[in-house]
Amino acid sequence: MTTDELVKQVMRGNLVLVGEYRGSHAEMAGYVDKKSGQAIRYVRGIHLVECDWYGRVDRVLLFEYFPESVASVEQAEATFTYERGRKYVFYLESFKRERGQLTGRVAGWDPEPLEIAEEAGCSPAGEPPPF
Amino acid sequence: MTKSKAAFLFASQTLGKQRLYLWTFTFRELLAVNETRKRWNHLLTLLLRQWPNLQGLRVFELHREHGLHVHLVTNQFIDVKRARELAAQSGWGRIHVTPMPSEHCGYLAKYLSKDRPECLYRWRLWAGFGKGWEWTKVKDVIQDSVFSRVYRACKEWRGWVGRGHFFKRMELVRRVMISTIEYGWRVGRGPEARPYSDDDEAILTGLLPVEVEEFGKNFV
Repeated sequence: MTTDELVKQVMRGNLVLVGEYRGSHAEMAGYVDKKSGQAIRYVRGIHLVECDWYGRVDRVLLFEYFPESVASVEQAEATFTYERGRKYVFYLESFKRERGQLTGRVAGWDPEPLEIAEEAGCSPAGEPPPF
Repeated sequence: MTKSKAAFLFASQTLGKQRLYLWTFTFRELLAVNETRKRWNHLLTLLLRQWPNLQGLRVFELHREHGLHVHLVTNQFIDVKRARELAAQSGWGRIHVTPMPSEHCGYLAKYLSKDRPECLYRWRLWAGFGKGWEWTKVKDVIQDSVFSRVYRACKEWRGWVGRGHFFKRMELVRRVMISTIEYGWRVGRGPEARPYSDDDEAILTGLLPVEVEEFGKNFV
């Protein structure tokens, strides 16, 4: 996704978070009833993202809930094809800040890597200056 | 999903695996939440007097237009005409009842996922009633997640006892959990799957700010 495309998404009103991807963890989370022994289990992924939060670097935990077709931790981990240290655009369904920790829930769309056009400091070796 | 919602879903499964009945009790006029609770207590007393074996779960829902109303799940058919008379006696308005398969209890549980309004702070948003059955309570639910596992490991590591310094503990656990995700540690273990105690200083000084480091030392 280019910066222009990102701006378009923002202007459309999509809730997005841009940050540097730091890592992910897939888990089989759930609850167990001590009385009846019943259990509720679900697979979820937690992505760690670093972003700028009003002048300081903040770490955001983004939770991803998988459809029923993803039934195991291994299947969930197979979807984590992101590159650590790269900036991504995460589409969010919701987010909240609680006790100083920003957490969010990612929407159904996959995160997209952000392509930032870097400005050259000078002309390539052996090439004349552009103007 | 919150622990409360999970407990509610467990309780609804205990209540009945077959057919349940979903009741909705509302008022003609908009009432203050405390008044609604009083009237609910009155109505529940009347219902249980009429049907002593009635078992069920009730959920409070604060509607954005109609104020507080009550949803009820019961596992027994009761005469709706008589129930309407009792509701009118205790000051309630419209009553609606419909049969519901037990799997649809998630519909009621959705109210428990919503942000709790300030006026319902410390209220039991749902509760069971009736004799002869034990509904699941929040304290009966064990949570299994990366956070809870890291918490248990930190508790062992720092020797936490009692319930003091809750927020500081949460802060420490959260930071260790973030390190677990970032560095790919095994859940509940430090670098290279060593116990946290083996890298005590490294974990506290390398990853945590000074105030948390100091906090951790106080708990040795």
